[in-house]
Amino acid sequence: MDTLTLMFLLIATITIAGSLITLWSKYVVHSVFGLMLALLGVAGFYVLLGADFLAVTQIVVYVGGVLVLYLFGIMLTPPDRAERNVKLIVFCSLPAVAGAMYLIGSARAMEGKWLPGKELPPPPGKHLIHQVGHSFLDKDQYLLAFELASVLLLVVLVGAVYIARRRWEASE
Amino acid sequence: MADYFRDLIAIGPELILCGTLLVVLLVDLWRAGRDRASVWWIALIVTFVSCLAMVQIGSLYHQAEAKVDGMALLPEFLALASVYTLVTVCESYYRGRDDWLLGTIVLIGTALAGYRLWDLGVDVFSGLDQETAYWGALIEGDGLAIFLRALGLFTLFFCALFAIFYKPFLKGINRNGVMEWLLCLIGATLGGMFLVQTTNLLFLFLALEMMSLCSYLQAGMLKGDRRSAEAGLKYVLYGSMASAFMLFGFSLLYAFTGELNFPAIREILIGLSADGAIGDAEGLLLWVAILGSLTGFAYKISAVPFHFWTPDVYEGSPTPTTAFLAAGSKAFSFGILIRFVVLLGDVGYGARILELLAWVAALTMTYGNLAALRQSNLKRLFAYSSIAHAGYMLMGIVALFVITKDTTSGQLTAGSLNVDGAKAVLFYLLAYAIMNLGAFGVLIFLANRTGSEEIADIHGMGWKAPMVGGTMIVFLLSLTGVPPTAGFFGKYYLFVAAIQSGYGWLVVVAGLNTVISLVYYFRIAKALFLRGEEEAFVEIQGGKVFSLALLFLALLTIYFGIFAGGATELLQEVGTSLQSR
Amino acid sequence: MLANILQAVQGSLPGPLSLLTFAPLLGMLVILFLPKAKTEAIKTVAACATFIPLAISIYLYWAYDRGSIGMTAGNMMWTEQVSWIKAFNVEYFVGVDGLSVPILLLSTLLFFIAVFSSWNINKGVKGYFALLMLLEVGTNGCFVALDFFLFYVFWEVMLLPMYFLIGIWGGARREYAAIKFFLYTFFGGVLMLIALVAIYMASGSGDAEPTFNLLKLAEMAKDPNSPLLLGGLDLFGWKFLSWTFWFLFIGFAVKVPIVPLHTWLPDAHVEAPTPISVILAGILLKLGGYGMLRVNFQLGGSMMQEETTIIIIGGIGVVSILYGAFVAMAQTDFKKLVAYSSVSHMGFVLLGVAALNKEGMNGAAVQMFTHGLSSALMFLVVGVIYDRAHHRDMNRMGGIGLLMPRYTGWAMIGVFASLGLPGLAGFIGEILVLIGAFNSTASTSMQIYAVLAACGLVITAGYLLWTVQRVFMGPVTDESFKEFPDLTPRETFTQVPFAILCIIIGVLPFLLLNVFDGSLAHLLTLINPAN
Repeated sequence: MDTLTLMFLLIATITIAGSLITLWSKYVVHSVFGLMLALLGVAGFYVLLGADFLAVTQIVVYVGGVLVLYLFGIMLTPPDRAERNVKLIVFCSLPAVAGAMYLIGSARAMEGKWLPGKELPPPPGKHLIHQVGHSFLDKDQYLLAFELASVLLLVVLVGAVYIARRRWEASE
Repeated sequence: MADYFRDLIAIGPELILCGTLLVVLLVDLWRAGRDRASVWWIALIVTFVSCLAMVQIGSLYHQAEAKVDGMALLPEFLALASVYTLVTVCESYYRGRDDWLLGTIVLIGTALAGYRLWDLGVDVFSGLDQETAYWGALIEGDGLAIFLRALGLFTLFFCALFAIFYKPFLKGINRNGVMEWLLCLIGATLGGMFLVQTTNLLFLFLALEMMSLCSYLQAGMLKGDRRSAEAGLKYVLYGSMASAFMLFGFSLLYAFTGELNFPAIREILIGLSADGAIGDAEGLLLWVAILGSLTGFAYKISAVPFHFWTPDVYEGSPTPTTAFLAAGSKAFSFGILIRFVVLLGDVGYGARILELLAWVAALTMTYGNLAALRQSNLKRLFAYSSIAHAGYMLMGIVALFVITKDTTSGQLTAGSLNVDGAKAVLFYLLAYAIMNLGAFGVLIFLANRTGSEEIADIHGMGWKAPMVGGTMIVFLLSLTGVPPTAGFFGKYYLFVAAIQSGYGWLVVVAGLNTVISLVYYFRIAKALFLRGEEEAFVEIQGGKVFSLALLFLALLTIYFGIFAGGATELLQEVGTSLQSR
Repeated sequence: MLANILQAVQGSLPGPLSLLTFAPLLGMLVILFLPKAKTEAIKTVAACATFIPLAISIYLYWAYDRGSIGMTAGNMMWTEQVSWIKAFNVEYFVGVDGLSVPILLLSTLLFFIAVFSSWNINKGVKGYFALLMLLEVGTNGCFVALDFFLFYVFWEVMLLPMYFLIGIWGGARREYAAIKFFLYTFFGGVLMLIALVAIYMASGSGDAEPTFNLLKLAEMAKDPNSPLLLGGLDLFGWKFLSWTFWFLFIGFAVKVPIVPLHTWLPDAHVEAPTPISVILAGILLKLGGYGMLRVNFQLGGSMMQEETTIIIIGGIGVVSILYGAFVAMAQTDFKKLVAYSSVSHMGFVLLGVAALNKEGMNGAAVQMFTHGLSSALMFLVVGVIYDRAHHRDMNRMGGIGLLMPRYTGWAMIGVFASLGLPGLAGFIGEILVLIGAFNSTASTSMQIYAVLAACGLVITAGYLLWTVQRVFMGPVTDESFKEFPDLTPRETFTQVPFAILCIIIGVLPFLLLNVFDGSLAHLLTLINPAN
């Protein structure tokens, strides 16, 4: 067993454990920390695969942003609501089981062979972020997608603010 | 630089929509707290003029395509800048009623975008534009895209129009949400318009999510209405699930081929199967990949078994949103589904997927129709009917390829592309958009007066508003598929395509379903005209503009039911462009 | 110069058949733009709009070239052919032959009379007459269409006005009756549509361009190697020819109607207002028979040569005759009785066609025409008494013969024409059908059918005479009947044309037969080249 495999198994264990905690924990706060474990684990996979940009993004966006938001949300909720319904937990596990079976099936179908088709491009090395930046702003790559994403964010933000806002005062 | 502008021009309609979106946002921000009547008009005129300028410049560009330099688009940006300046200045004088202001701006913007699209369409359909890939092949401005974008703008126009008259947006707490709602509507349409152009998995996902997110928001936007909140939540939950499946499918496709662009994926897959590199295991995996991707689309078009959200969301959403979901969102999703299946339907295990889709189609239409029989709420009824119609349209998707079965090995293979399937679906989408918008329009008209969306509460309304009642009958006929209406031709084309591809049994199932659908559609007709106390038949006054809009839709329904030839010839071109893949 | 101008003007005018079909549509548009309160104006417009087709069809009947045989492109008269939808080769193609001309006359006459019979409608007058006009467009269109697609469109156009005419202006159970009518006919229509698409696709196999042209399709079906007979799509293991044939058959049979697809008929007839019952029985039922002759049997000629088909179709005819007659006998509702008698009478049409010989065919066609007359008259008769008594229960009637002598006189003509009394119209069709069935070589079972049908005649005589006895003879059971006025001039005007035509056809049947004969003979050669 080389180091890489060892690392992989370690990270996989962390990720799966984190997911299970998220699902089954009775306290919502524990769930959030479980989720953090899982998300960090995924970031670890990215590192193993040489996708350091993705790993950093994962940590910054999910762990740094989304999770903190969750935590704020939970902490601002009255404590008696923060406990979880056990029935719901079981119910939520069902899709997880289905997903796992789906994955195992796919893996068996592959029978250990790697997929055919084109070789994936090699990891681009240290100038990755440089490249990402270029492809975002290059007309012949992803400029349109980048700009569309900005419009998307604008619209969704406005809409979300409206929805999240309390009832408008009738006087207004 | 020149090709930069070429690409910008290609998304001209979308740019105009973005501009409209911003204008709506800004006008709403500026007007807060102030009221001056003149701003109303000046804002309108300025919007109109500046967008017109943008349009005109676009046309000029087209005429002088050869000699374009960096300055060509400067006036457009100047115009845009002047809009904002002027509106800001004028805003300080604003006072008075402004119910129609935002909606009207959207209408103008949509009309102008449509005008711009017309130019693009002329180029594409007259064969001027051979090279239609733009923005690094992220999008494809071919006939299919032009047609569906036009359909999207049409839907947007009428949804915005309905919103102007929709009572909850005029009175009470939701009055303040109109701007947000309009933004989301435009955003969803924008997403959809990009969705039908895309040939790239990544961009596809982005566009689809843009459409979805904006739809989720719209659905949940009615404050103080539990059903609306429930609709929004349900829509998000089911939607993210479907997105996850789709993304998983995409990732497998990417892993399989190392490409994100449809044509490249297709090429590689064809090459692989020619080399015999796709064995059972790889085939199964590919099957999983395509199936996962299809899940996302199936969810959007509400095909069984991904239909659960439909009734609740349709019922809870503001009615203009429901109209958009039924007419626009569905059209866009079917558009990308056509593109997807045309490119990937006959590689690998495509035949098996198509066979599965045939069953999905049969189930979807049967379930939708049977469930609709028992509804008492009009919006729920139309939700189930929209499920049924998705089933009919899937018939055209299935008919895209002629499936042949090897008698000895039982192996299914997808044969040649039958573009009539795509043409049938596109025509049906057109017909469906017209008649469904009309039906929801009538619903809004009735609900504005009765305050209810239950069938039991519209008794005798046909006599009280004969013109609107009459248009509803036209829409119902068209939904059932009785000639001479657009819906009949849609169904006819679907039947032709399905029989061409050898799906006789599916056609029989669809035919019987049509008969079932008659029962519940005419429950509405019955309530409108056959029920109600005769003494109460005092005609409703008012709502003239709205009635005329509905009459226009009804006439359009009949027009396409008699002169379907023009649209058919247009679609012929679309079919040919699909043929080349 | 003048001749050139005249020619140019003539070229731009619609042909007589288009005018005949679309004059009521024009009437409908005019009515829609009239204000609701001006009921007299609306009725006048309706009368005019139905008179134009009537006048044209009288002209057509008079000018029809009796020597021509129809059914082939050259001999169809007054044809108009314009491309409609190029992509699918759909044409606006109309024309008439000896089969359609008399039925067209019947149809236009019925609508004209129906307008007058509707004169006392006072609920939603505008909508009523607009729908009636639309109904006439669909009906007349069906009889002139020579393009299958066009035919189908007209066929379906009839449904909606009928639904509302029954549903809004009908009797107590009108909602049920209306949707039932709609559902049954639409069901048949959908089957027809599926067959239509399949036939269209099949006709385009090889180099041939697919077509909806009924004349071309009929020519194709004559060729034993044609793709219409051999090729095409199989369905659930059925051969192409047999499923398309039966799909079309069911489509038309629902309208005829045959047992067991007849159950919409008593409901619709009974609940519909009188003029609509008249149109239903007089014309819409004929469309079923007409469609079989014009479309179904021509495109599936080789199916008709199989004995099983004949046994089934003839058998259905006989079952309808007997079943309709027996059920009619059990009725106490006057209108329901007439409705069931329609089922019985229309059975003769199927039996006549199944005989596959000249007598049978002519008999079937004549039976359609004469049943149109007699049933229309009977429904008018029922309508008169219902208007006065507000019920139709025959057990509570009696002695009307004494109270309303003129009414009874016209009614008797209807009853006896319906019964098949020699010298009146009903006799000609029935006797020809029976002769045809006896002489038929199509199947050995036809003779048995003929005997059974003859028994059916006896039952028919039974229930009709019993009706006469219950309604018109005997003592006056209900005192209120004594105050009933006899026929008003308007009512007389609606009944007389039918009564007179019943007598004319009964005495001078060749007036009708020499129009039918040529075209039916040609049709017969298409169905069965051996004849």
